[in-house]
Amino acid sequence: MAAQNDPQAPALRRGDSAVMPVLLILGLGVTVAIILAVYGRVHEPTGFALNVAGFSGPQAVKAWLATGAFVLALVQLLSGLAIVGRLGGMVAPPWVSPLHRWSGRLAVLLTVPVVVHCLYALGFQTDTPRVLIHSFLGCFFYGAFTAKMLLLTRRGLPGWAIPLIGGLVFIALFGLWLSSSVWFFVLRGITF
Amino acid sequence: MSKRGPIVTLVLVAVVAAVLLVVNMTVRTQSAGREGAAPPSGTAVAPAPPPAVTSPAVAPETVTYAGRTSGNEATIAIAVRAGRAAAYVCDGRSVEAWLQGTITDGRLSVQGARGASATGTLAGDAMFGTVSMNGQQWPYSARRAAPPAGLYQGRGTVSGVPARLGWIVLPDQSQVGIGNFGGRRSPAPALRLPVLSPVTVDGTRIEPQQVFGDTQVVGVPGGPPS
Repeated sequence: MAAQNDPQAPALRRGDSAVMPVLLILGLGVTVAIILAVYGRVHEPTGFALNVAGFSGPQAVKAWLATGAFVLALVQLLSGLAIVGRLGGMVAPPWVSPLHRWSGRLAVLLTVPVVVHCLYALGFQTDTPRVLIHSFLGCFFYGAFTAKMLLLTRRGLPGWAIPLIGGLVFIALFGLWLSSSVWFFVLRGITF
Repeated sequence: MSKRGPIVTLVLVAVVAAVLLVVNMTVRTQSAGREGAAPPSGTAVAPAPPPAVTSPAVAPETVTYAGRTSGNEATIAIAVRAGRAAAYVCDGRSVEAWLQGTITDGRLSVQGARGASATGTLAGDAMFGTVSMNGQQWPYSARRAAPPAGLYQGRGTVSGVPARLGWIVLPDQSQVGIGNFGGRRSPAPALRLPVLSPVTVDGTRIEPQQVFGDTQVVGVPGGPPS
């Protein structure tokens, strides 16, 4: 019983009823990614969408929102490492879990206006390696995020499962940030 | 840990995304003028943009005809290759249309977005026909144009909106071009010829490429709906 409820149980046991739901969850994540990609490809890009006041243009808004999300993702990385006890062997203080949860929620919420603009106004583009990689990672990110949220509801996962999927979400966001915000700031300078 | 937390997060993200999307679509529908007439759904987009054509070598059956409408309302260029045709009608200020279709036995038939079309008949080194767009019909004549005269396009993303530029270079080397930035049109920056080099729009580099008869020009991202 204890092992059943411990999210760091050593491994999925053979015949464990948890295997099928986990595969189902991963399949759902893949489906989310594919739906986003297909929408981005089939939907005729409108060219523009709502903007946020106070910025020079949609690109600047998106670059800063994504930067905010990435900073929070760094908080995610550190708090996540602390939760699984990989942050210099220190014991995670009790506020780390809420910090992880809320910084994650905020990070993903910051990305939502960005992805809506990306998919609605621009679509899934393949013109250059940068936009191809960015389009792919964008779809992958939301697929992986969906899978991670659903996996969190499962008990009896091997200890590496959540850190692995969390790491994938982080890497995807890092790649998205590099291929958009960093690219934009290098090209235009740090502009608002 | 609560089992519901992550689900709440997922639902919250989906709801915020849906609300933003609906608000976007509503605003778009309300502010849609002629440019916004395309409904944001179900319109097929070409699978992939064609590879950039950089080779100066031109296949023998590759021809471009360039000319004007009879009342000089607009210029027109028609690129023909292997039975396929791509055409561009442009007044250099705000009126333009990309057209795509075929040429069979010297008879041209090309279509574009919002009912724009052109027909034509080949007569020696010239093409004569009619352009129909924006509810108007213009007779035109176009002559076989030797490079660097011809039809060119450039695509990219400028200030976050898809940009589509088109240029017609007439046999006397004069240029007529329009940039379409997310539905807003303005004269295109000058194209440097005869060696095609990138143009800069609002700080963004765009690589122009020559358009041939089999180049996909309708239904590409940043272009008109097919």
